Amino acid sequence: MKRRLRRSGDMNDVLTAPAQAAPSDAEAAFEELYRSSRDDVFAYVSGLLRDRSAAEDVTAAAFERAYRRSSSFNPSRGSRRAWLFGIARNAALDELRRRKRTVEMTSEPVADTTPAEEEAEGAMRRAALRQAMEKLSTRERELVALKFFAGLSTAEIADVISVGERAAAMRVHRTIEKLRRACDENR
Amino acid sequence: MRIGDFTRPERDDANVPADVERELEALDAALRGEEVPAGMEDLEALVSDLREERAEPEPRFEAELDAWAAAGFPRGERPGARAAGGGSGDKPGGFFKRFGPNGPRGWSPIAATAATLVVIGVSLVQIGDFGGGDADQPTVATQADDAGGSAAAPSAQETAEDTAGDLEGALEEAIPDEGGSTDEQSFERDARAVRSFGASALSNDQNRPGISRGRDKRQVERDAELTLAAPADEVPDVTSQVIDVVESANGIVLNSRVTGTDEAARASLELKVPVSALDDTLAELSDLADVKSRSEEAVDITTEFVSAKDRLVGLRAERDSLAARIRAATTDAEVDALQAQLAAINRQIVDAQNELAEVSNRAQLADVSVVITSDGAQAGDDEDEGWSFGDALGDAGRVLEVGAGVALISAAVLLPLAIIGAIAYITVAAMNRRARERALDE
Repeated sequence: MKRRLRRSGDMNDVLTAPAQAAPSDAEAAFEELYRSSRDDVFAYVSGLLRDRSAAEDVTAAAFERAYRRSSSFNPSRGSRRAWLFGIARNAALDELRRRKRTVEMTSEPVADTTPAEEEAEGAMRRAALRQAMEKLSTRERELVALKFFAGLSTAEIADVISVGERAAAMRVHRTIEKLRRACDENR
Repeated sequence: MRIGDFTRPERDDANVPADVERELEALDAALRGEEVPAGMEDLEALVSDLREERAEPEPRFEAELDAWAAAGFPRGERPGARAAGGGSGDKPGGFFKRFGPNGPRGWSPIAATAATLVVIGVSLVQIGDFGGGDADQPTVATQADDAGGSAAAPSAQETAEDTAGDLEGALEEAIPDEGGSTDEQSFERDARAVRSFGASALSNDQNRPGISRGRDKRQVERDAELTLAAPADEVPDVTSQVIDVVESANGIVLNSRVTGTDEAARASLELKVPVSALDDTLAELSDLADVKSRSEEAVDITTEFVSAKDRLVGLRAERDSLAARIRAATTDAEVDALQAQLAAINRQIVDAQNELAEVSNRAQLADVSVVITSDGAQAGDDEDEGWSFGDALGDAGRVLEVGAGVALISAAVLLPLAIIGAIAYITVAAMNRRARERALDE
């Protein structure tokens, strides 16, 4: 399974390059956060906005805001990763407000690149999944993006969307149920 | 607690239903690449398919973002597909964002500047207040005893000046004639004196607008008490200086007494000072040493003065009448009886003249009591030494007192502003939050 932290070798080189000055604990923590979350933030924002160009801008803006506000992080209010995704969520929602319209995804990550050896059943299943995703509301799509694209735990999702953990769990559950039903209908 | 905590909704951390929890655990296991419980294989396939839908950043963007991050996210160099054309991330996301890229934190310099200005303003006001009052200034008590009761007593100096001319004329007339004149012209002179006194007073009233006629005729007795503090070895010198000042003002030293040793000394003086020079004399005396206390009193004695004068005029009129009767007497016995009465009247006139002179004297000369004591006086050596440890403690206390005052007043000014600012922040943050949430519903 493809999982997070699939990044280029250049990234590690760049982030470890300024060794002339030892980074502070906060800088080191932010660097680690950046390393571990860059692709996940992009995947979440892209799944929410369904616009790769906008996702790039929002991802960059989210990291910039997080970097400048790194001192505002409070461990007692959640993990650093949840804090970062909260910032990314605000940036993404600001983008949604700005656009005030739903932008169709300009590119799809793996669409139409089905390898020849892929089974026909799998292809049908994923086509049904894409159709089912279209039926989800923006809120539901956000939950899918947080859970499956960004890989956040239920507790982290609760922190990001500012609800209780039980409420977050129930929302994820209901979204999964809706997605499964839609997939079954589309097959 | 931060202000932002007030904008966060309450959490509901009740237990998750068991079936939902199992499903979520299966999802998490599938996301980790682990096996899922039996009967939930479809979830594993769903997770796999969803992960395949996950968008990955393009290598170009990855490289640009990494380079930007390594440079410390410099402003104006943000990467992104639309960054060159004013990427979305640069757009303000809310009210506070308009004040800078750091959002609400951009308010910090503004708030700090405002707070500093308030503190400086309060400090200037405080310093001004402290400077206006002298903590070492002695208590000056002034008391006026007005026989009229209602009107404020005029200053003794003013009254003395106003009535000086009148008194001179009246007193000249009140002095008994040398040899005890008994002719008729004496009565007429008294009458003219009275008319002259009234005319003079009236003339003064007319020439001084704003001053009532009755006030001009007032006779005010003034007295003052002054306590000076001086080192014991300087008490005799200060006493001499007091006498010099009084004599230069044409005053009288009724008595003076100096007692004490090198360690403690005390001098007391009873003085008579012309009312016209009283204020200046007191000012000069106050400059001779540290003033521990000073009090003044004014008593209206106009009634006494008028009564004494009326009695004198009446006696003179009676004397003139007796003189006329003596001239008209036809027998020696009658003349002898009338002369005996005249002698008695003359004695009464002398008494009345003395009484009037005494009252006038009280109005013209103020009683001044001066005490010079070494109690509470700073030794001259201390002044020469300048700044002592005690002075340092006193100054430190003063600094703390002023600082606490500035802090208290500043807090009184800033606290309401801070509360208003916090309410505005919470309100705007809540509005922004709602607006963002609405974006998910559109």
